[in-house]
Amino acid sequence: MLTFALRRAVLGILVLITVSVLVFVSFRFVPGDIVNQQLSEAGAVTPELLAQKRAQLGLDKPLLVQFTEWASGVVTGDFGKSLWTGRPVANQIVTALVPTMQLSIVAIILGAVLGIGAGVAAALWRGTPGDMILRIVSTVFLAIPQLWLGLLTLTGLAMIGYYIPLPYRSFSVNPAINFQQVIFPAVALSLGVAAALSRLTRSAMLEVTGADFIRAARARGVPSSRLYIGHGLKNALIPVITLLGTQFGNLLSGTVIIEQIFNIPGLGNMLFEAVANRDYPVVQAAVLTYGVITIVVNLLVDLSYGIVDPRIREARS
Amino acid sequence: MSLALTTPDATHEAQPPRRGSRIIAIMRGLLRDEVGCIALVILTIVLVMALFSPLITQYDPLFQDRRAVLKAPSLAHWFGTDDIGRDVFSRVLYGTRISLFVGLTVVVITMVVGGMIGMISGYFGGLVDMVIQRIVEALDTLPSLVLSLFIAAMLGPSVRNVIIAVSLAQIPRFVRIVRSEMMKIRGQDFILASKVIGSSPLRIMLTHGLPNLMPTMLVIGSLAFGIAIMTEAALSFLGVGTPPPNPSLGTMLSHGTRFIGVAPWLIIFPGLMLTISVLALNLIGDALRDVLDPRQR
Repeated sequence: MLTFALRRAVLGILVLITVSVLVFVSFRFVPGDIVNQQLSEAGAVTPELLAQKRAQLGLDKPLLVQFTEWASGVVTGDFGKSLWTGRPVANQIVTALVPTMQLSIVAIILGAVLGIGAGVAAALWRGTPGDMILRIVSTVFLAIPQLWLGLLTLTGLAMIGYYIPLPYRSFSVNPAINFQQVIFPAVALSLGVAAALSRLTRSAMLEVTGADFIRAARARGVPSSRLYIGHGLKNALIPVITLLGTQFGNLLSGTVIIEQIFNIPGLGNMLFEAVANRDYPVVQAAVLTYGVITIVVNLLVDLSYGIVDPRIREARS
Repeated sequence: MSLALTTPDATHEAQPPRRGSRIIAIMRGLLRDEVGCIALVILTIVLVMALFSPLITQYDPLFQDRRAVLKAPSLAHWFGTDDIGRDVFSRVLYGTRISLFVGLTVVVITMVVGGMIGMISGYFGGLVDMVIQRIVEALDTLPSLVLSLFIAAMLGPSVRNVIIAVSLAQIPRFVRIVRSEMMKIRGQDFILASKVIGSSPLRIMLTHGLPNLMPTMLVIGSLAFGIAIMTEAALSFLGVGTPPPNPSLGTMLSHGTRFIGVAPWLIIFPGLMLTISVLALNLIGDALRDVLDPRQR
């Protein structure tokens, strides 16, 4: 199990290196760098001034040298300084990562509970109006863009005269305000996840409950609640966990939008501003952070297969 | 279920694919499918609204009527008006037009580019496959909206750049699926036979690979269409998508956030149109899967 995890971690690092190279190279080939952005507002810009500023920020060096310098910093945990604010990027990332992760984790838990619950219910009630309604609702929610769901939530809250308190407060500073700020966007994010999960859970459950071992358990007189949850769901869980991992990626995409709508100063917000400002170190670090999150989630998904299914655990050791 | 559809692989080997009859067969299958029928009806309505918008509404989506500012939906303005007196209904229609145009272009680009790369990767294997897969893996590590946002913000707001940004985020998934399908059929007898009589790899991919991969590509293509529409709206909402004054659904939503609680119709109708379009495309995808691959049912 440990060697498996280690091997996956090494592969993950290789992927991250590829990501960094791609981002680094593509970003520098685009016209209009930070020096242009910063000095475009000031009048009387001479080519000498531009060159001087570039030299000061180290942007005049060959690309390979720039990349090596950046990469050697990253290895020691130094992500450089923001070209715009001059603050260390690592601090900025950590500050922005907290709200994004809080939002995503609350949303994925809500989504998993709702989705798996609805899926099991639909499988139990197969062919009844309840099943029909659940299937229609999940199909519709799968098509609603997170963007619209977020805005509808705000509209609905405004209609009943409730406005989410601003500005953003972290959980450690003010839990009560933080809760109000996180719960609504988290619900808006979770519904899409729940819709996708419930569809898959339903079909996975139906497939499993048709199997012989369920019939055998029923014949032995196992009560149907335990039959469905203990025997059925447990065996239907592998595809559900896989989808949960994929959905986490969608959720992260959603946070970029939802953070903007609900004024949450997260990673998406930071990346958005940094790209517009051509703040290379911040963009690099933000993109890398998203990569790390995805790789960690994928690793967790892979490890959990072993927990759910002993056969996979055996095969790996 | 028609006979030709239940055995898609067999028909290819027995006779050269006749494109026309195949499309008709797929359409017939969709119409026989309950979900497919509903989806086709919704999609037709959306398409008619988008294509014939000038005939449906007499309002210019850019015309500002200063005497009718922030009016609630009424008989004169079905979806109300915005803060500078533009008719929301006609803006929604023209916005849908742009959404569908971007979505369709993205799907075509993704299917051609992603399909080609995926087939090459799956057919040749080896070093080519290795290099392609590492790049795909890297792109796949980033959440799709993060990747699109990065590219769109880097290139600047224009319809062309949105198409590039959204396509690049969709291609990796396409490559992965097409590659694995190609690997499945690579070793089959009809491909070997074709190789033996001296067909070039390109010929094998186009005449044997493509027809066999088409069902899968159509299904993920219709889902990608929906995702593309949503991503376009998201990018426009963030201000790096379709530039104003083009009436894009995402830009309209972003505009509407300024009047939340005051003019909910600015949020409700563009979003509703967006959802209906995506819903229709998702349902088509579901139905296509049922029609093209009866084994999965």
